[in-house]
Order: sequence, then structure tokens, then C-alpha cells
Amino acid sequence: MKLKYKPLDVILLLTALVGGVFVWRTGKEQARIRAKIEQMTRTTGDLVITDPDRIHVLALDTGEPLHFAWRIYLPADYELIRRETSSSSVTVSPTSGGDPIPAREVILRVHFRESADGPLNLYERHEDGSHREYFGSVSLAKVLHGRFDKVIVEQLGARKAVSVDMDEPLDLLSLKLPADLEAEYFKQISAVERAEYNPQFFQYCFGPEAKKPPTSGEGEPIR
Amino acid sequence: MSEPSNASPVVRPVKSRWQIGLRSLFFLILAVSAWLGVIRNRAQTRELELRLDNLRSLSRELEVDDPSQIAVAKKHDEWMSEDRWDVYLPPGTYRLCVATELIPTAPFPPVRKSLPIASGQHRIAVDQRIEKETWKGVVSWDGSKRLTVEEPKEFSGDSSSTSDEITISEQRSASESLVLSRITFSNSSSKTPVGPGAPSNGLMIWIEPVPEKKPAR
Repeated sequence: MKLKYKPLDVILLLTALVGGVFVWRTGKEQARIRAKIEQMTRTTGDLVITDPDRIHVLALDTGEPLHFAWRIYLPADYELIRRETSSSSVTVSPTSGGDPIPAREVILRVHFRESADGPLNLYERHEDGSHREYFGSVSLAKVLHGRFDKVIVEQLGARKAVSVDMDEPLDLLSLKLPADLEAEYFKQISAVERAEYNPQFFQYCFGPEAKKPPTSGEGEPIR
Repeated sequence: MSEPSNASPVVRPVKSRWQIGLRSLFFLILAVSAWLGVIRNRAQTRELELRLDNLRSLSRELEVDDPSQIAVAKKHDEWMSEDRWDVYLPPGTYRLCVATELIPTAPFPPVRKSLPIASGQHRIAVDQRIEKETWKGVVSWDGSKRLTVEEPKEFSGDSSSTSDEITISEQRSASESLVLSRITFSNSSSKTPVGPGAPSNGLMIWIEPVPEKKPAR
């Protein structure tokens, strides 16, 4: 009896069939992973890294006033150094100890809460740790009592993901009192405090000082 | 009389050793395409898995791949001494236990308070508060306060050490206890300093399966 198919054809057909099964299985696995990624990006947002040598920032919705969070991509060897407006800078990235630092994504958080009758409570979550402290004066806490939503907020990456060059300032957050609250605050503080008053009562800034005055206060939109 | 045939005999072309038929060529293309697809899919899957690992630590979403196992995800901290977990418990009977003394001891310290917790998905919250002269540990789930332990303010000492049993998300056997948090307190002014690892005051939270009672014969 003569075989209808040559042995070579049978081998090739079987190879193709086995390959087809593997394609189906790997495709199914991919679909499962893609579904998980989609589920997770609902909470973390989708941050597309267009240039691995630039910082990428996406603000996350916390659903609370004066509670801010960001998903941030930091390029390799970039140390997140806090730029204080009144004191010297503080490193808040894990210190590398001379070792190369890999590129990574982190969640940073700034959260204000009222205390019973003292100043505001401030919680900051950095790349590798967190701390809580009292913030501002009791007068500021009184002015803001129940009115956190009135504060003027400038948050980087709030409208859409942005990218910032590594040698540019990374100014994540600036909080300012609106005119009516500012006037109310002025009534409660002394002349000395008024002289030292900074309209931006809280800033969350990293990296170097701006080399030139900021034009828009926003990074470069990611396309 | 038949005419003599002058037609030459049919000469079949000699097939080269490497020559294959159209059908074999079709099967070859099919096999190569299928395996190229496998290679491409595997490379893409590896990239997606890397992306998923990264997202997993950022999003802390509860993943239930095997519904017969416990699943747990530690949520991002949003305040000091406030911890949140999303927990899935497969069908069965469980209780949530709180201990405040002799932590850490192996395997578990004496239970101070416990409550049954139903199978299914829960958001469990543990908050520590200092209210006037009292330290409070409050355990809530699904938005309701369920267990509160109270001690004098000095109980929490002047420093604490947290051992996060769950760092991101994972699945575990439903027959084993799930330790959510193990916090130990220490007091630098204590007259009887305790060494590292020695039992001390603290707050330990875990969920353990409760063996079902067999009906009496």
C-alpha cells in the first residue's frame, strides 16, 4: 500500500500543528497578562516611557483634597534629591554608595490631615521610607479647617503624563492659599510672620534649581 | 496496419535530492510560520511579564489566580501606622486574631481577641492611635470597626519595628495561617531591655482557618 503523504510531509504537518498549539497557548497566556496589566493600570495610570533617559511623571487620583500621589519613572543613576526652599537639600533616594542605580518606577505621596486642635499633620512617602510631621502654624490649620478643597494646587503630571530632563528641576507640587483665605490668614498672624510669608505655603521639589525662569510650570507632555 | 509510433518514451525529470513538492513546501511554510509565531509570542510574553512585575509592586492589586487559595495584597501606605490589605479567603471557616503580648514568638503568641471572618474578598485595615493617655489598635474590615485593643500610652514604647509578612501580593495555602502584620514595640528607657527577637509587646494580626466541627454520632 502506497502512503498518501510522504514522511517529510507528515513531519512538517506535525511540526506545524505542534507550533500552532504553542501559538494558541502563548497567545492565551499573553491575553491573561494583558488583562492583568489593564486592571493594574486602572489604579496606577499608564505611564509610557518614551525616553529612558528622562524622568516621567504621572499624578494619580487619590480622591481626597490635599492628598497627592505620583507614579514616577526615574532613569538609571538618577538620585531623587529634595530641594528645600528654606534649608539645605536632603537626599530621599536610597544612597547608592557608588554603585550604579538602576532605572526604576516609584510612587511618591504627600498627604495632609487636620489634627485635633494643633497644626496640620503632613505625611510624606518617599522612594524608600516615609515620615510624618506637624506642618505650618496653628493659624494656617485654622484657616484651612474644612476648606482643603479651596487651596490652589499646581501638581506636575496632573493633566497628563509629562517628562522632565534629569538636569531640570522636578517640581512636583506647589500649594497656595486663595486670596480670601490669605486675607483671613493675614489677620491671624503677626507682622513678622507676614514679612516672612511665602505665598506658596508648601512646595515639593526635587533636583537642581531652575537655570532659567519657568515658562509654563509644566514638564514636556509625553506624546 | 498500424503506423509505427515515433513518439519518444516519456522521460520523467530526475528529481534533485533537495527538491520538494508543492505540498511539502506549503507544510514547510506553515511549520516555519507557526514556530516564528511561538518565538515572537514568547518574546512579547517576557516583556509583558516584566511590565506586570513592575506594575504589581506599583498597583498592589489583589490577584486571585487560584480560587482555592488565600490571596492577599498589601496596599500602599497612605499614613503612618495605618495598614491596609485586600484579602480573598476561599470557601471555609476563618477567624481573625489579634495579639499584643509575647510578640514575636513561634509560631503564634496567645490570642487576645478574635472574630470570625467570612470567606470572600475583604479590605482589612489596622490603625494604631494614641488618644490622650491610651494606645489603641483598631482592626476594621469592609469599612466597619470590628476589634479594638487598648493599652496605656506607654505600651507602644518609643520605637517600633514592623515585619511586613506580605510585601506586595501573593497566594498562599488556605490551610495555613496568614500573618498580616507583626509589629513589636520597644522602650529605650525600659529597665529590662529585650534583645532582638525576644518576645515583646506589640500588635500582631493574622487570619487562621478554623477546623470545622464534625457532627456528633
